[in-house]
Amino acid sequence: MKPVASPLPALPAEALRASAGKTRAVVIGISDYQDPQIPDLRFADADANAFANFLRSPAGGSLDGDHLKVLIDSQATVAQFDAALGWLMDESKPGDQAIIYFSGHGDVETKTRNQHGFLLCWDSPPQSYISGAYPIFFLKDVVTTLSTENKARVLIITDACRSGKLAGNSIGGAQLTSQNLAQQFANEIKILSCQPDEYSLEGEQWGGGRGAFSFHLVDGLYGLADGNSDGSVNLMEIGRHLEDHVTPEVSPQSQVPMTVGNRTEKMAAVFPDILAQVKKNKAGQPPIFSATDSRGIEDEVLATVDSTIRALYYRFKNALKEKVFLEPPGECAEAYYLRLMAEPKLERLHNSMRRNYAAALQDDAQQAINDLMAMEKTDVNLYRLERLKKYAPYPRLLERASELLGNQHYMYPVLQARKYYFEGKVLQLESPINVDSSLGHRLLNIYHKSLQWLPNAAPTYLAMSTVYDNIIPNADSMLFYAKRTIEIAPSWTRAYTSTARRLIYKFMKHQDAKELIDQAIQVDSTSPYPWISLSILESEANGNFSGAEQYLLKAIALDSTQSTAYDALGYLYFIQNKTVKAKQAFLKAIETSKPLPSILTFLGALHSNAGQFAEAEPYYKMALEIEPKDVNCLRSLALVYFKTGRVEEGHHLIKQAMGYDSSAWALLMVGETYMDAGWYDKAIDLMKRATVLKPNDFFGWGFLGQCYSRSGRYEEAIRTLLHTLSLAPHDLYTQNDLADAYRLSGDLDAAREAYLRSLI
Amino acid sequence: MNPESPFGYMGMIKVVLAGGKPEEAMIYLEKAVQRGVSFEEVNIPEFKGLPGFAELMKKHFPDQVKD
Repeated sequence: MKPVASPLPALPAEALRASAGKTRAVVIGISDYQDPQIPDLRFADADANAFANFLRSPAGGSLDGDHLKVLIDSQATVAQFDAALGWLMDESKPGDQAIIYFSGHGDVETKTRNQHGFLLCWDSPPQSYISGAYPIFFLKDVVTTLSTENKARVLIITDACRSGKLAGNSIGGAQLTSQNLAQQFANEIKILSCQPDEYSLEGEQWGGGRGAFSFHLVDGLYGLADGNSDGSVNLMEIGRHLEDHVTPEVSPQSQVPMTVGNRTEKMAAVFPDILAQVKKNKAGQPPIFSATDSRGIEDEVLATVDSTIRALYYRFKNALKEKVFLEPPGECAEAYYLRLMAEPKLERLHNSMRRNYAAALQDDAQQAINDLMAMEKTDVNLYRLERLKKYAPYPRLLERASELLGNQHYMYPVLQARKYYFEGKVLQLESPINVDSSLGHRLLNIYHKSLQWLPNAAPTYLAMSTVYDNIIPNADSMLFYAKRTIEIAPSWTRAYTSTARRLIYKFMKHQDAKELIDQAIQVDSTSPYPWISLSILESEANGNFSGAEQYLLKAIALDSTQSTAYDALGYLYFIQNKTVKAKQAFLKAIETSKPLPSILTFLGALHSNAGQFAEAEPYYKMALEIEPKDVNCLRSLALVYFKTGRVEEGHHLIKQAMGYDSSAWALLMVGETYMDAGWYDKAIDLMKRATVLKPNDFFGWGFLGQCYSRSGRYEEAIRTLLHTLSLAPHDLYTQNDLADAYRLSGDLDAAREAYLRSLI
Repeated sequence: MNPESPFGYMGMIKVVLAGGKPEEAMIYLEKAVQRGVSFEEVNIPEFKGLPGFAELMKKHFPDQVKD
């Protein structure tokens, strides 16, 4: 039995609903049948638990254990079911309300002439229902007694037309049972999951694994169905809510829930706090679309076709499972699908085939978005080339899924939006270097197209924010799109923390970064990421290394399975020259998850800086195997070659790096390598070129000033570093470099003043 | 940059040493160490002759200082 967590807050005593009559309910949910010949269901138990949770809430009447009997799986024997209904009849008084909820299989007896309908309990025998399933005519008696003799209001909710191969399949047993249930027995109210000729569909897309009917029924009763906002949900409103949501979401298959009874009957009271919580739980969640189970229909239809068609059908299903979608030609899901769609005898399966094919085509893209939103490691920690390989097919697959469902399908805009989103992501991943504003505008155009289809897509806004980080650097635009992301998905901590890091590293907007980090901590103080960002802020903005270290240790205490905190800790020690601790932290980072090229490069640098060139080389080479175009790593390995007399090999790597990337950043990286090799003229030349490309970027001027200083050209160093400070008055490293330059030039008074100024 | 950063103090040590003020240098050295400067950065020949250097090292880096 799968427990279903109630989405509700604790119930305030004063919120308990006062009612003239008492409500009692019997809730049955059976997924796991005792006899293996009765096919198990996937989510009937979860549906029943969710409905029981609703009844326990104020909206459902705050039923306690004395008024609610919940029988799940093995508890739901036919004897227990009968006893529970007996309890309802014994206890119900005039003016009371009796609720019967059943989620499981329904079927008809094929051995008798009348073909009576039955609800299959956990211990029902598969071959002879009459000897152990619950007959609908008994239920009819119970309802009639409750209505006419007890004078109680009776509400019956059944979700019993689930698919699966049962004894009565050949004569439409589940449907006949449903037909029986749909008849009015007395003056009871009924809500049924589908029409008699339909199957009730279930899948992962509804609440992580529920029936479409049950999922929307419960949400509707909590208040989402309160169309006229009068504080209550009546039968007409819940019926409309179910039709509005269930029917389009199972499309192109057919499921139209039905209601029977007085349409103005009040079904539930709406509690604003609870409704707000339900809405909040849904907010920011990406729309989901998944395959549905149609085993019962499948068996029936396949029994009527020859073995060649049947084999082709199973090849199609296997191709979906193996994700062999559009190629190789003739031996992929697409080819099998087209042939099967031309087979008239499979017509009853065509809609489920179309849906399941479309669902499979978009499944991975959806999972990638889910992972991103959930901050799962799977996608976030993929190497660039791995992510590129993974995402590259998505636009084509999503386009095909859109075609299959058609432009009237509720998922069509979502699929189109995701197609453009991944088109942008692929373009961004293909172009990690040599970025320019024309690429940025192309990307923004693609992401805008995505937003035209789905205006409130948080990942798309965050992707736009990243364009304004390193492609068209603009702090205001970057922050604007990040804040839009946060408005849409306020609980997505990644949006806060990744933006904060960009603000710190790229734009030095420390106050804005601090605000975002504080908000992230408020959203989820147990996530390590806000604390990692806070550490970076303390280190970069304030030079407070001990404070930064404490925040990282806190992040590790919160989640020691994430490599990010160890990586940041290694960097923190690295910049303080605490080489032993830095190495320990970096090694821990690559032990915790897969080694990132940046971490391997730092490990190489630790050895290189200590003159241990032989030890540095393998780390750099490992990093380059993962990311062959990593300019930082190429130039670091080049320095190792320069320092060990392998000058030609070094130059070859530098040439390679500059061929991949001629941006200002790359010029600076290579310039720094020349500087470290002691070739100051070459270094100064490259750094000057970088400042011409990006005259307002303090970073380039800072490097140039440092290089002048290292080459003994102190006057130029001081002039350049003063200019750097005019662009970035609070930069820790520039302040220090300027003071160093004064000191080295012999101007100790100016140096003292500069150092002291930096301490104020 | 602010008083929490060790960088400024490290620079100040070099300035005051160049001005021949080893006692003042020790004040800055202690502040730098308190703000996280590593053993490797402090344990350099330039500082080793400073008055009170050995005591300072023993106090702040007890595991790394050999008796």
